[in-house]
Amino acid sequence: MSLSTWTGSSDVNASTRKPIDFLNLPQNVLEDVFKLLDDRSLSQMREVSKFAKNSVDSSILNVRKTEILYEADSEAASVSSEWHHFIQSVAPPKFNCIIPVLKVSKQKIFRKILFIDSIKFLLNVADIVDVISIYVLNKSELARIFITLIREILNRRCTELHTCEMTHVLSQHDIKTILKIIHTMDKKVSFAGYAIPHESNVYSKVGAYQIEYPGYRGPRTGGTEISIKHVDFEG
Amino acid sequence: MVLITLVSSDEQNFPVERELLKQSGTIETLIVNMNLDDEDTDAAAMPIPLPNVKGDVLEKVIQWMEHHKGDPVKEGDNEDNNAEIVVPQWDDDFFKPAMYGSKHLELTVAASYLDIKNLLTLSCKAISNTFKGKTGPQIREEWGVPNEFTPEEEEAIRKENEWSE
Repeated sequence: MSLSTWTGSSDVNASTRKPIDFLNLPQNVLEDVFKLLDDRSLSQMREVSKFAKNSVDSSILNVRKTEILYEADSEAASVSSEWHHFIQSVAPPKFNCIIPVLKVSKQKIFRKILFIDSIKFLLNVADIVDVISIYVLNKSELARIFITLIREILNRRCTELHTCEMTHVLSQHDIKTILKIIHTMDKKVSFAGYAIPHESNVYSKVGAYQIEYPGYRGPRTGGTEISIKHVDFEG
Repeated sequence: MVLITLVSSDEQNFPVERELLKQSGTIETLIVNMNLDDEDTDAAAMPIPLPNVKGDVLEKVIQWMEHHKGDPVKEGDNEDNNAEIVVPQWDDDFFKPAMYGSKHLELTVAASYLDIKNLLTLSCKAISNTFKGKTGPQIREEWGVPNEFTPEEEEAIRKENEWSE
Protein backbone atom coordinates (compact mmCIF):
# COMPACT_ATOMS: atom_id res chain seq x y z
CA MET A 1 0.00 0.00 0.00
CA SER A 2 1.40 3.38 -0.92
CA LEU A 3 1.75 6.12 1.63
CA SER A 4 -0.60 8.45 -0.25
CA THR A 5 -3.32 5.76 -0.25
CA TRP A 6 -3.00 5.20 3.48
CA THR A 7 -2.77 8.84 4.52
CA GLY A 8 -5.92 9.65 2.56
CA SER A 9 -4.63 13.11 1.84
CA SER A 10 -3.21 14.51 -1.34
CA ASP A 11 -1.14 17.16 0.43
CA VAL A 12 0.37 15.10 3.21
CA ASN A 13 3.63 16.90 2.87
CA ALA A 14 2.02 20.27 3.36
CA SER A 15 2.99 21.54 6.77
CA THR A 16 -0.07 23.64 7.41
CA ARG A 17 -3.60 23.21 6.10
CA LYS A 18 -5.07 19.72 6.13
CA PRO A 19 -8.44 18.97 4.53
CA ILE A 20 -9.99 16.55 6.99
CA ASP A 21 -12.20 17.53 9.90
CA PHE A 22 -11.60 15.47 13.05
CA LEU A 23 -15.05 16.53 14.20
CA ASN A 24 -16.43 13.82 11.90
CA LEU A 25 -15.48 11.30 14.56
CA PRO A 26 -18.42 9.58 16.29
CA GLN A 27 -19.41 11.26 19.55
CA ASN A 28 -18.11 8.41 21.74
CA VAL A 29 -14.69 8.55 20.07
CA LEU A 30 -14.66 12.33 20.23
CA GLU A 31 -15.31 12.04 23.96
CA ASP A 32 -12.34 9.67 24.26
CA VAL A 33 -10.20 12.41 22.69
CA PHE A 34 -11.70 15.09 24.95
CA LYS A 35 -10.91 12.96 28.02
CA LEU A 36 -7.25 13.20 27.13
CA LEU A 37 -7.21 16.99 26.88
CA ASP A 38 -6.25 19.30 29.72
CA ASP A 39 -8.76 21.97 30.77
CA ARG A 40 -7.15 24.70 28.70
CA SER A 41 -7.07 22.62 25.51
CA LEU A 42 -10.67 21.55 26.10
CA SER A 43 -11.68 25.19 26.42
CA GLN A 44 -9.80 26.04 23.23
CA MET A 45 -11.70 23.27 21.49
CA ARG A 46 -14.88 25.29 22.11
CA GLU A 47 -13.45 28.03 19.89
CA VAL A 48 -12.91 25.72 16.90
CA SER A 49 -16.48 25.50 15.60
CA LYS A 50 -20.09 25.51 16.74
CA PHE A 51 -20.19 21.73 16.54
CA ALA A 52 -16.99 21.45 18.59
CA LYS A 53 -18.38 23.86 21.18
CA ASN A 54 -21.64 21.92 21.46
CA SER A 55 -19.75 18.62 21.63
CA VAL A 56 -17.55 19.81 24.48
CA ASP A 57 -20.47 21.34 26.37
CA SER A 58 -22.69 18.29 26.03
CA SER A 59 -20.02 15.73 26.87
CA ILE A 60 -18.29 17.54 29.70
CA LEU A 61 -19.88 15.44 32.42
CA ASN A 62 -18.63 12.31 30.68
CA VAL A 63 -15.10 13.49 30.12
CA ARG A 64 -14.29 15.04 33.47
CA LYS A 65 -14.24 13.42 36.85
CA THR A 66 -16.71 15.55 38.72
CA GLU A 67 -16.67 16.00 42.44
CA ILE A 68 -19.40 17.70 44.38
CA LEU A 69 -19.59 18.35 48.07
CA TYR A 70 -23.19 18.10 49.11
CA GLU A 71 -24.03 20.02 52.24
CA ALA A 72 -27.44 19.77 53.84
CA ASP A 73 -28.81 21.94 56.60
CA SER A 74 -32.16 21.57 58.30
CA GLU A 75 -32.40 25.32 58.61
CA ALA A 76 -32.25 25.88 54.89
CA ALA A 77 -35.63 26.79 53.50
CA SER A 78 -35.50 25.12 50.14
CA VAL A 79 -33.26 23.47 47.64
CA SER A 80 -30.93 26.03 46.19
CA SER A 81 -32.17 27.43 42.91
CA GLU A 82 -28.61 27.34 41.69
CA TRP A 83 -28.50 23.60 42.15
CA HIS A 84 -31.86 23.17 40.48
CA HIS A 85 -30.34 25.12 37.62
CA PHE A 86 -27.37 22.77 37.63
CA ILE A 87 -29.54 19.67 37.36
CA GLN A 88 -31.80 21.21 34.74
CA SER A 89 -28.72 22.05 32.76
CA VAL A 90 -27.55 18.48 32.54
CA ALA A 91 -29.77 17.72 29.55
CA PRO A 92 -28.96 19.69 27.57
CA PRO A 93 -26.07 21.34 29.36
CA LYS A 94 -25.56 25.03 29.04
CA PHE A 95 -22.13 26.46 29.33
CA ASN A 96 -22.85 28.92 32.09
CA CYS A 97 -23.39 25.84 34.20
CA ILE A 98 -20.69 23.79 32.57
CA ILE A 99 -17.96 26.18 33.68
CA PRO A 100 -18.50 25.40 37.37
CA VAL A 101 -18.80 21.73 36.48
CA LEU A 102 -15.42 21.88 34.79
CA LYS A 103 -14.08 23.68 37.80
CA VAL A 104 -15.34 21.21 40.35
CA SER A 105 -12.60 18.84 39.34
CA LYS A 106 -10.25 21.43 40.83
CA GLN A 107 -12.20 22.91 43.68
CA LYS A 108 -14.94 21.61 45.85
CA ILE A 109 -18.32 23.26 45.95
CA PHE A 110 -20.36 23.70 49.09
CA ARG A 111 -24.08 24.34 48.95
CA LYS A 112 -26.58 24.24 51.74
CA ILE A 113 -29.62 22.23 50.84
CA LEU A 114 -32.54 21.09 52.93
CA PHE A 115 -31.98 17.43 53.58
CA ILE A 116 -35.43 15.91 53.53
CA ASP A 117 -36.45 17.57 50.27
CA SER A 118 -33.17 16.80 48.64
CA ILE A 119 -32.78 13.04 48.52
CA LYS A 120 -34.08 12.82 44.98
CA PHE A 121 -31.82 15.66 44.01
CA LEU A 122 -28.85 13.98 45.65
CA LEU A 123 -29.57 10.76 43.76
CA ASN A 124 -29.77 12.74 40.52
CA VAL A 125 -26.34 14.12 41.31
CA ALA A 126 -25.11 10.58 42.00
CA ASP A 127 -26.18 9.66 38.47
CA ILE A 128 -23.79 12.14 36.93
CA VAL A 129 -20.78 12.52 39.18
CA ASP A 130 -18.04 10.23 40.46
CA VAL A 131 -17.46 11.61 43.94
CA ILE A 132 -19.96 12.88 46.49
CA SER A 133 -19.29 14.22 49.95
CA ILE A 134 -22.30 14.63 52.23
CA TYR A 135 -22.35 16.97 55.15
CA VAL A 136 -25.62 16.89 57.04
CA LEU A 137 -26.42 18.59 60.32
CA ASN A 138 -29.86 17.11 60.84
CA LYS A 139 -28.60 13.62 61.46
CA SER A 140 -31.70 12.29 63.19
CA GLU A 141 -33.57 12.40 59.91
CA LEU A 142 -30.71 10.88 57.98
CA ALA A 143 -29.98 8.03 60.41
CA ARG A 144 -33.18 6.22 59.47
CA ILE A 145 -32.23 5.89 55.85
CA PHE A 146 -28.45 6.23 55.93
CA ILE A 147 -27.56 2.70 54.77
CA THR A 148 -30.24 2.78 52.08
CA LEU A 149 -28.90 6.12 50.92
CA ILE A 150 -25.35 4.77 50.68
CA ARG A 151 -26.62 1.83 48.62
CA GLU A 152 -28.67 4.04 46.32
CA ILE A 153 -25.84 6.51 45.74
CA LEU A 154 -23.20 3.87 45.06
CA ASN A 155 -25.57 1.96 42.80
CA ARG A 156 -25.49 4.97 40.50
CA ARG A 157 -22.52 6.43 38.65
CA CYS A 158 -20.91 7.65 41.87
CA THR A 159 -18.08 5.39 43.05
CA GLU A 160 -16.66 7.41 45.90
CA LEU A 161 -18.73 8.60 48.84
CA HIS A 162 -17.59 10.59 51.85
CA THR A 163 -19.74 11.44 54.84
CA CYS A 164 -18.73 13.57 57.76
CA GLU A 165 -18.88 13.00 61.45
CA MET A 166 -22.15 14.92 61.73
CA THR A 167 -23.82 12.97 58.93
CA HIS A 168 -23.99 9.65 60.72
CA VAL A 169 -21.77 7.54 62.95
CA LEU A 170 -21.82 3.92 61.86
CA SER A 171 -22.34 0.97 64.20
CA GLN A 172 -20.51 -2.33 63.69
CA HIS A 173 -23.76 -3.70 62.27
CA ASP A 174 -23.89 -0.78 59.80
CA ILE A 175 -20.35 -1.55 58.65
CA LYS A 176 -21.20 -5.21 58.06
CA THR A 177 -24.29 -4.19 56.09
CA ILE A 178 -22.28 -1.76 53.95
CA LEU A 179 -19.71 -4.48 53.23
CA LYS A 180 -22.48 -6.83 52.13
CA ILE A 181 -24.00 -4.19 49.88
CA ILE A 182 -20.80 -3.16 48.15
CA HIS A 183 -19.78 -6.77 47.58
CA THR A 184 -22.92 -7.25 45.47
CA MET A 185 -21.95 -4.36 43.18
CA ASP A 186 -20.25 -4.89 39.84
CA LYS A 187 -17.98 -1.89 40.35
CA LYS A 188 -15.19 -0.95 42.73
CA VAL A 189 -16.21 1.69 45.24
CA SER A 190 -14.84 3.66 48.14
CA PHE A 191 -16.67 4.85 51.22
CA ALA A 192 -15.33 7.06 53.97
CA GLY A 193 -17.20 8.10 57.09
CA TYR A 194 -17.20 7.77 60.86
CA ALA A 195 -17.86 4.76 63.09
CA ILE A 196 -18.49 4.14 66.76
CA PRO A 197 -15.11 3.40 68.39
CA HIS A 198 -14.72 -0.33 68.97
CA GLU A 199 -11.91 -2.60 70.08
CA SER A 200 -11.96 -4.26 66.65
CA ASN A 201 -11.19 -0.92 65.00
CA VAL A 202 -7.98 -2.00 63.33
CA TYR A 203 -6.92 -2.51 59.75
CA SER A 204 -8.67 -5.48 58.22
CA LYS A 205 -9.63 -6.93 54.89
CA VAL A 206 -13.03 -8.38 54.06
CA GLY A 207 -13.35 -9.95 50.63
CA ALA A 208 -12.24 -7.44 48.03
CA TYR A 209 -12.41 -4.52 50.45
CA GLN A 210 -9.93 -3.16 52.93
CA ILE A 211 -11.12 -1.38 56.04
CA GLU A 212 -8.92 1.21 57.66
CA TYR A 213 -9.29 3.37 60.72
CA PRO A 214 -6.88 6.26 60.19
CA GLY A 215 -7.13 7.15 63.87
CA TYR A 216 -8.84 10.51 63.68
CA ARG A 217 -11.68 11.07 66.16
CA GLY A 218 -14.46 13.52 65.45
CA PRO A 219 -14.61 16.19 68.17
CA ARG A 220 -18.39 16.41 68.22
CA THR A 221 -19.48 12.77 68.31
CA GLY A 222 -16.28 10.95 69.22
CA GLY A 223 -16.80 8.77 66.15
CA THR A 224 -13.63 7.42 64.62
CA GLU A 225 -12.78 7.83 60.98
CA ILE A 226 -13.31 4.76 58.78
CA SER A 227 -12.38 4.02 55.19
CA ILE A 228 -13.82 1.08 53.25
CA LYS A 229 -12.19 0.79 49.88
CA HIS A 230 -11.93 -1.85 47.16
CA VAL A 231 -8.35 -3.12 46.98
CA ASP A 232 -8.16 -2.10 43.32
CA PHE A 233 -10.01 1.19 43.72
CA GLU A 234 -8.33 4.05 41.91
CA GLY A 235 -9.71 7.31 43.16
CA MET B 1 -0.95 -21.81 14.16
CA VAL B 2 -4.71 -21.23 13.88
CA LEU B 3 -5.69 -18.60 11.36
CA ILE B 4 -8.99 -16.77 11.30
CA THR B 5 -10.10 -14.86 8.24
CA LEU B 6 -11.41 -11.34 8.59
CA VAL B 7 -13.38 -9.86 5.70
CA SER B 8 -13.39 -6.10 5.25
CA SER B 9 -16.31 -4.03 3.95
CA ASP B 10 -14.76 -4.04 0.49
CA GLU B 11 -14.53 -7.83 0.66
CA GLN B 12 -10.80 -8.21 1.10
CA ASN B 13 -9.78 -11.32 3.06
CA PHE B 14 -7.20 -11.11 5.84
CA PRO B 15 -6.07 -14.39 7.43
CA VAL B 16 -4.97 -13.43 10.95
CA GLU B 17 -3.31 -15.42 13.70
CA ARG B 18 -5.91 -16.35 16.32
CA GLU B 19 -3.73 -15.10 19.17
CA LEU B 20 -3.60 -11.57 17.76
CA LEU B 21 -7.37 -11.23 17.76
CA LYS B 22 -7.55 -11.41 21.55
CA GLN B 23 -6.80 -7.70 21.46
CA SER B 24 -10.18 -7.01 19.88
CA GLY B 25 -13.16 -7.33 22.20
CA THR B 26 -15.57 -7.29 19.26
CA ILE B 27 -13.83 -10.05 17.31
CA GLU B 28 -13.25 -12.09 20.44
CA THR B 29 -17.00 -12.04 21.10
CA LEU B 30 -17.71 -13.09 17.50
CA ILE B 31 -15.18 -15.94 17.76
CA VAL B 32 -16.87 -17.22 20.90
CA ASN B 33 -20.37 -16.85 19.44
CA MET B 34 -19.34 -18.63 16.24
CA ASN B 35 -17.60 -21.41 18.23
CA LEU B 36 -14.45 -20.85 16.19
CA ASP B 37 -12.29 -22.02 19.07
CA ASP B 38 -13.94 -25.45 19.10
CA GLU B 39 -11.75 -28.23 17.75
CA ASP B 40 -14.67 -29.48 15.66
CA THR B 41 -15.15 -26.13 13.94
CA ASP B 42 -13.33 -25.43 10.71
CA ALA B 43 -12.35 -21.83 11.47
CA ALA B 44 -10.81 -21.39 8.04
CA ALA B 45 -14.20 -22.03 6.44
CA MET B 46 -15.95 -19.42 8.56
CA PRO B 47 -14.65 -15.93 7.79
CA ILE B 48 -15.67 -13.07 10.07
CA PRO B 49 -17.27 -10.19 8.19
CA LEU B 50 -16.40 -6.70 9.40
CA PRO B 51 -18.78 -4.51 7.39
CA ASN B 52 -17.71 -1.30 9.13
CA VAL B 53 -13.98 -1.54 8.37
CA LYS B 54 -12.43 -0.97 4.95
CA GLY B 55 -9.57 -3.15 3.75
CA ASP B 56 -6.81 -0.55 3.93
CA VAL B 57 -7.84 0.36 7.49
CA LEU B 58 -8.12 -3.27 8.57
CA GLU B 59 -4.65 -3.88 7.18
CA LYS B 60 -3.29 -1.11 9.42
CA VAL B 61 -5.20 -2.45 12.41
CA ILE B 62 -3.67 -5.90 11.87
CA GLN B 63 -0.23 -4.36 11.45
CA TRP B 64 -0.69 -2.55 14.77
CA MET B 65 -1.91 -5.74 16.51
CA GLU B 66 1.07 -7.68 15.17
CA HIS B 67 3.45 -5.15 16.68
CA HIS B 68 1.57 -5.21 19.99
CA LYS B 69 1.22 -8.98 20.13
CA GLY B 70 1.51 -10.11 23.73
CA ASP B 71 0.78 -6.70 25.25
CA PRO B 72 -1.65 -6.84 28.18
CA VAL B 73 -5.20 -6.23 26.98
CA LYS B 74 -7.07 -3.51 28.86
CA GLU B 75 -10.49 -4.28 30.28
CA GLY B 76 -13.43 -2.12 31.28
CA ASP B 77 -14.09 1.48 30.41
CA ASN B 78 -11.40 3.74 29.15
CA GLU B 79 -10.56 5.74 32.28
CA ASP B 80 -7.02 6.67 31.43
CA ASN B 81 -5.62 9.82 32.82
CA ASN B 82 -4.13 12.23 30.36
CA ALA B 83 -0.92 12.64 32.31
CA GLU B 84 -0.23 8.91 32.41
CA ILE B 85 -0.38 8.16 28.69
CA VAL B 86 2.66 8.46 26.50
CA VAL B 87 2.49 7.43 22.85
CA PRO B 88 5.50 5.15 22.33
CA GLN B 89 7.87 6.06 19.52
CA TRP B 90 6.84 3.11 17.33
CA ASP B 91 3.17 4.08 17.59
CA ASP B 92 3.94 7.74 17.00
CA ASP B 93 5.78 6.80 13.80
CA PHE B 94 2.91 4.49 12.88
CA PHE B 95 0.26 7.18 13.29
CA LYS B 96 2.18 10.17 12.02
CA PRO B 97 1.96 9.73 8.23
CA ALA B 98 -1.84 9.80 8.35
CA MET B 99 -2.32 12.00 11.41
CA TYR B 100 -4.20 14.86 9.77
CA GLY B 101 -5.85 12.75 7.10
CA SER B 102 -9.07 10.79 7.05
CA LYS B 103 -7.21 7.49 7.44
CA HIS B 104 -6.05 8.13 10.97
CA LEU B 105 -9.61 9.03 11.91
CA GLU B 106 -10.85 5.85 10.21
CA LEU B 107 -8.25 3.87 12.14
CA THR B 108 -9.49 5.46 15.37
CA VAL B 109 -13.12 4.69 14.55
CA ALA B 110 -12.13 1.11 13.65
CA ALA B 111 -10.33 0.76 17.00
CA SER B 112 -13.54 1.86 18.71
CA TYR B 113 -15.74 -0.47 16.63
CA LEU B 114 -13.40 -3.42 17.09
CA ASP B 115 -13.00 -2.59 20.78
CA ILE B 116 -9.19 -2.55 20.72
CA LYS B 117 -8.72 -0.41 23.81
CA ASN B 118 -4.96 0.10 23.64
CA LEU B 119 -5.11 1.17 19.99
CA LEU B 120 -8.06 3.47 20.69
CA THR B 121 -6.31 5.11 23.64
CA LEU B 122 -3.05 5.67 21.80
CA SER B 123 -4.81 6.82 18.66
CA CYS B 124 -6.95 9.31 20.61
CA LYS B 125 -3.90 10.44 22.54
CA ALA B 126 -2.06 11.06 19.28
CA ILE B 127 -5.00 13.20 18.11
CA SER B 128 -5.22 15.07 21.40
CA ASN B 129 -1.48 15.76 21.26
CA THR B 130 -2.04 17.75 18.07
CA PHE B 131 -4.28 20.15 20.06
CA LYS B 132 -1.93 20.66 22.97
CA GLY B 133 -0.89 24.27 23.48
CA LYS B 134 -2.87 25.44 20.45
CA THR B 135 -5.58 28.07 20.33
CA GLY B 136 -8.98 27.38 18.76
CA PRO B 137 -8.07 29.30 15.56
CA GLN B 138 -4.76 27.39 15.31
CA ILE B 139 -6.59 24.06 15.60
CA ARG B 140 -9.05 25.25 12.94
CA GLU B 141 -6.17 26.12 10.65
CA GLU B 142 -4.32 22.83 11.21
CA TRP B 143 -7.36 20.65 10.65
CA GLY B 144 -8.97 22.72 7.92
CA VAL B 145 -12.12 23.55 9.88
CA PRO B 146 -13.92 26.64 8.55
CA ASN B 147 -14.60 29.48 11.00
CA GLU B 148 -18.36 29.69 11.58
CA PHE B 149 -18.24 32.27 14.36
CA THR B 150 -18.90 35.97 14.12
CA PRO B 151 -16.32 38.16 15.90
CA GLU B 152 -18.91 38.79 18.63
CA GLU B 153 -19.49 35.06 19.15
CA GLU B 154 -15.75 34.43 19.28
CA GLU B 155 -15.35 37.13 21.89
CA ALA B 156 -18.19 35.68 23.99
CA ILE B 157 -16.63 32.19 23.97
CA ARG B 158 -13.23 33.62 24.84
CA LYS B 159 -14.77 35.28 27.88
CA GLU B 160 -16.37 32.00 28.93
CA ASN B 161 -13.00 30.29 28.57
CA GLU B 162 -11.06 32.84 30.60
CA TRP B 163 -11.20 30.73 33.77
CA SER B 164 -8.97 28.08 32.21
CA GLU B 165 -6.22 30.49 31.09
